Amino acid sequence: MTSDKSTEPRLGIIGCGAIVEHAHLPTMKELGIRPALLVDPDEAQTRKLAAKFKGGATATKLGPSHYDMIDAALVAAPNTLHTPICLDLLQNGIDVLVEKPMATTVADCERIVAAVEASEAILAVGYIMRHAPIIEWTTGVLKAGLLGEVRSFDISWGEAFDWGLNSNSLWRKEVSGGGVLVDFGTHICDLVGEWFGDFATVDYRDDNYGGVEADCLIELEMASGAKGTVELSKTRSLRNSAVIEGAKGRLEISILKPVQEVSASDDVLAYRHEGMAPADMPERLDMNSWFARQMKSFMDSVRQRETPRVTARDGLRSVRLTETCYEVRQPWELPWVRPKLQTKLQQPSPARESA
Amino acid sequence: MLKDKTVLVTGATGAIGCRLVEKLVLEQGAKVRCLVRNYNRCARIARFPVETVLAQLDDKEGLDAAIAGCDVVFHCAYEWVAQKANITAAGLIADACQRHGARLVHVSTMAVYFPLPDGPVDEGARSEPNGKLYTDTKIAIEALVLDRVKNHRLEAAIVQPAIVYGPFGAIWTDVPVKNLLAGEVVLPEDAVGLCNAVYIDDVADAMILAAERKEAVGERFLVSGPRPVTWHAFYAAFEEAIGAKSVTLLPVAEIRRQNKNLVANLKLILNEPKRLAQWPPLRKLLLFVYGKLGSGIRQKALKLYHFRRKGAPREVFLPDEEQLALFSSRAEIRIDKARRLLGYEPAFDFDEGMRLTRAYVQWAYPQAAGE
Repeated sequence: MTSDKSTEPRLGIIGCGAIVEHAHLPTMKELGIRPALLVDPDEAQTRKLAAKFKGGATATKLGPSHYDMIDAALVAAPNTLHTPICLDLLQNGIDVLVEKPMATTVADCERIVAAVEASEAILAVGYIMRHAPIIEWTTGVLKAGLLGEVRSFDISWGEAFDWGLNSNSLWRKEVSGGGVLVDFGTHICDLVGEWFGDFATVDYRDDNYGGVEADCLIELEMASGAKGTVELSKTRSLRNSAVIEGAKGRLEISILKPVQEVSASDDVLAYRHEGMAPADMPERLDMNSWFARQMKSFMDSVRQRETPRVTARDGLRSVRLTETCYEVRQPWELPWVRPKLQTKLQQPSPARESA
Repeated sequence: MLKDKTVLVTGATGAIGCRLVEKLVLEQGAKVRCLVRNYNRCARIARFPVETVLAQLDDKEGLDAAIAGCDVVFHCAYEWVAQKANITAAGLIADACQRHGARLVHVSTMAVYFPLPDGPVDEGARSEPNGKLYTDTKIAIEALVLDRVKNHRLEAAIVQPAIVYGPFGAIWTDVPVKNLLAGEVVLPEDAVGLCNAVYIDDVADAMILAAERKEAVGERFLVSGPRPVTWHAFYAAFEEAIGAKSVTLLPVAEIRRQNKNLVANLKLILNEPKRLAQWPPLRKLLLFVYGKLGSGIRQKALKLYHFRRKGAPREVFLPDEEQLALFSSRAEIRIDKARRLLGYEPAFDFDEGMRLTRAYVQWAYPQAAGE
């Protein structure tokens, strides 16, 4: 680190696309955090955001001259650029909050984990759902053993994707690292690891024909013996909930529905995590508050030099699952597509069972 | 075959455009460029190794660059917010096709013959502006394209799909399914019209034939299925797909009476503000205002549009006058010309098309119980 940690950390933003413009910067404004540095190849965008959010310096590329200007950085560049940027920042003692996924390959994640462990800098991964009160509560329920031994889970999250995008990087595999699995799915893979531990075997299929998948289905057997499915979509509205069946009971929570829904037995619903039961939580979906909690949690970690809520090892665990999915990939043959050409576009990956 | 040909699809994220892209890649082996007006809805086309080009429909240079090097341009895009802009866009696209020697396949609609006469309807039927913006705009575009063919040697063909249904079929698949799931769909009891349903793959195949056949140039082709079904049968098939009985039959006079019931309509509007936007004069104004909004405010406007009061009674979808005319029409779309000049033959009768559509509905709508 280049500055005294007792003073307010100076935060830079590397990558200034739609998520930064519409979520992170408005959140920072609410929290009274002004960006000290905005970096993006799109100069007009950084200037616009610097003017709108009273930011400091702008640059089109992160370089050594910037390391003295910031103590911490939010990395929101395209996924495949996360690794070089994070390594650069960590090696220069700058704390990092990196948007999910931490990197697009296990090998890159391992390099980041090694860099974190060799450095005094902190790295947190932007799994925003972990900062949702209902997710924190569910984690508490599972850790308290209120459902008993988990036997199965079924998680489904999908919507016809129509989010405002400033570029097509999300749709280019060489930049995004994948489709719905690494976009929506990385959140769910993180939760699967957090809630149910390590996976033992994976079956995976998707509808990719040489681009990035829009729909996918994961079937898992966990090291604990629990079995689960995860279905993700960018083309259709799914059930949008997580169902967890345990030896002692069943819990269902909605995932990103406009109105939060929780279904469980009364004694489970009465459980309070950090003083909160589902009945005490806001009924309406409020993602802005999750971004605020995430940023506050990261800045607290930076100030107090504490382990962040979502660590680099958590980031690695999620990417290990997504990478394994791609390794064992089978085509998802939807009956109405009916390709006539003997195309190599949807060849299955050689099957591999993960240990 | 369009194998290794470079083709541009405008409106590639729409229902027909997207299925066309799938077929061009998976069946034709074409090199596909997709013209999009924003990147938001690219999830389906991004599954394929296609080139995505960002350009607005009034961007002359952008359209020219997108069309340069193309053998064929499939023009499926349609701007719903500012409909008259589609005429200018068609002119720019036609000009660029002519400059670059690309064949243009323009996607029009059976609606250019509205109001449909009863009995057989072919390309010689009366096609005149009727005061409806969509019909009038499509007629103007057809005239523009045919003029460029006649006077400027543009190589172009026009396809006029009938009632297009099938997976991701938007207006005649997703909308009926959503309506049937959300409430009660009212059809006229005493005016059983014919639905000229055509499975989406047949439309895409007809477009590909229009791109290949030299006989297609300068011609308009109605594209429909092998034979019409009744509108009641059309909706019954969707009811079967979702496993619910949600169609109510009412006499036309009763539908008209309910449409005019001010108190009932006010109640419905309070439960669901979007009903206000269905009133044609206001819809035009709201669409105009919506077109001027920034993306953030658009999202908020959409939230308000989709608001539905908790505990509100199930929705009732009453056909308006335009829909009543369509649901009552006994027109039978003839596809003889497409058969003769394009070699078009629908591969899907209604049963087979609905079999695949039912599979899609049950996949896309987990709340649909199925048969």
